[in-house]
Amino acid sequence: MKENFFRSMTWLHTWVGLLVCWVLLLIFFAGTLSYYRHDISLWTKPELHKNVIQSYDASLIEPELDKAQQYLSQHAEGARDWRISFPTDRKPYLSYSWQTQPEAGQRRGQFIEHVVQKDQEQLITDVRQTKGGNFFYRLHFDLHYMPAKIARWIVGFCTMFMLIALISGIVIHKRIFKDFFSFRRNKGSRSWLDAHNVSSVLALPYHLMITYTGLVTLMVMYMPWAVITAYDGDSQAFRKELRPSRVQVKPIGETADMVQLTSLLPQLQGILGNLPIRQVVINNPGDRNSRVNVYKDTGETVTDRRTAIVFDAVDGKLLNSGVEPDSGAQNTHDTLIALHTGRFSGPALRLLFFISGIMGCAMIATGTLLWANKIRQKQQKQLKQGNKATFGLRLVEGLNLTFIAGLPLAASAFFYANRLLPLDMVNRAQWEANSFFLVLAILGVIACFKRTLSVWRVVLALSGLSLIAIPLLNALTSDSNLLTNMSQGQWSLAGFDIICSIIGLSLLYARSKLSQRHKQPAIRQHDASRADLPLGRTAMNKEA
Amino acid sequence: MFSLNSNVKPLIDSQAFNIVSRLLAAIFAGYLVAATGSGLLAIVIPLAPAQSTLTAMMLSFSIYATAIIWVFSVRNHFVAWRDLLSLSSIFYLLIRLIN
Repeated sequence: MKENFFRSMTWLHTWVGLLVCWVLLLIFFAGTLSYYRHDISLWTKPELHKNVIQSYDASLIEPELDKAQQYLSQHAEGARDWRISFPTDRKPYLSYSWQTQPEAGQRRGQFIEHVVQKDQEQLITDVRQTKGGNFFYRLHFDLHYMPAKIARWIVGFCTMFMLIALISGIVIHKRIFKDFFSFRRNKGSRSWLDAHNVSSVLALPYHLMITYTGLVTLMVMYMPWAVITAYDGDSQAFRKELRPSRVQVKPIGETADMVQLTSLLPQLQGILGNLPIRQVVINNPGDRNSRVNVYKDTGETVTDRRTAIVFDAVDGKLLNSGVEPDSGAQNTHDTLIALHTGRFSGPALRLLFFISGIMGCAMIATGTLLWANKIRQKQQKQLKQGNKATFGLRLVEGLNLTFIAGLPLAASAFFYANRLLPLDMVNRAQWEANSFFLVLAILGVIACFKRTLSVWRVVLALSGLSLIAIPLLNALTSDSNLLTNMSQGQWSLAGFDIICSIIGLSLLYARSKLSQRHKQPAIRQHDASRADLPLGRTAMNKEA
Repeated sequence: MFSLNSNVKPLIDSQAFNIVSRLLAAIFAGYLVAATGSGLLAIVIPLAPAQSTLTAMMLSFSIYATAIIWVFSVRNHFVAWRDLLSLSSIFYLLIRLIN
């Protein structure tokens, strides 16, 4: 019975992993980049690279609020909401933004952001059309070119598969600690297995955490059944009880003058004390049913609870002081969500999250490469006789080439498109996204015909070189460059250039490794004998 | 002429049928167990409704994962169906009984 369990877990691990691995790789890749969502957004808007970066100054809040209210009532009348965002560590500039009324059939309106210059009264209003870091953030769970709802179900399905792959992977990996320290280089598929083990085990707590918390972020959609039994399916009532401060109000269509925002400050200070204000959001401005929501900057608190202090925007009455009952379940939930988004993390921890994310990508990539390697060995005899590889093998190898080698190149194409597409182009932001997928599509077509190591080398070289050249691109297409950014302390911009170059260098290193591997005899005898085992019962458990 | 029996029997015994059956049991019957399980937890956990609901939802994925592992660990795939379906019916009856 025990052997049987072990066996089926091995089978489960192989097949569950393989079925969804390319979508998972895309999700992991986009999610990993999303840790630097705001930094990417800033980098993709060179108009904001000068004179905007500032830090929060509590003494300036009063005049800034006044100016913001004046500006927004002049420029954003009839908007769905107004947002006044104060500088934070992650988004170090002051901006006024608003969302226009959504067009028929749309869930959201257009989002417009004007950024205040640091030393002048002027605002920067002409920022290029780009999705910036939000492209990757949305790609992470909404995918692209499809309704968000369908995409989220697909993502949830794949995530559940990932969870199963992780659990079964732990079960079959009896020698978890021994393998942790063993890496046999240049040993063909044995090395892929080791690489798979190292990337999986090293960041295993992270992988488990990110997968489970990922499911938790969208659990109301995936598992609404608890709400159905406990609240008769009234999710509105559930949300109201859970987050009283975040209940949306609808406009009633009567106009009313808004209260002076600065008049709310004394009350606010009584509640907030010295905590900085992150954002002030005014829903339905100009309507009688309008609300002012003040969000505090919780900094590096782990349970980054996004509770708002809510005022009636017409008479200035305090409706909710943002204090919610402290409960174990809610704290647990908030912690799980915060762990997933990593909002609380400072630069060092963020980098660790980022590296763990890359390890996750590596885990998925090495897993599929290992699988393709095994299947190729199995078909060694037929291949030697001049037969074609089976459709399954060709498909897996093709998808591997498209996604594993292709994603870095696609991301780099996105950044180049961001800087090189004409500024007045129609649907510019969409074309940036299109260029990401165009690269994947082109690689997919190439992979239909040729999947050899030489194609891998070309793709890796291209993405490596293009990423290394990102600082150059930045220097040529914006007013600042890596050196000036570093000297001015614009670390998110400088960091972007540096991280891109480092990733580019490692891709080139991977390329050179591929060349070496090519010179070696590809298959060893004992590896080939192992390949006869049925149902993915491969070296992994035979050795264990 | 063919007899129904001779055509269906090898199909049921085949590896492919076994796998597809387990996969369907894992995805659908597993989800059913998770759904009814979390629905039941939400009304039996002795906390305020919002909290027990939250707890039940957070735990539902563990129930789902356990159910899926169960499907692939039992010897016979019919057993997997039987176990999961009866478990979710028990959960469902309990929900009806309490609510």
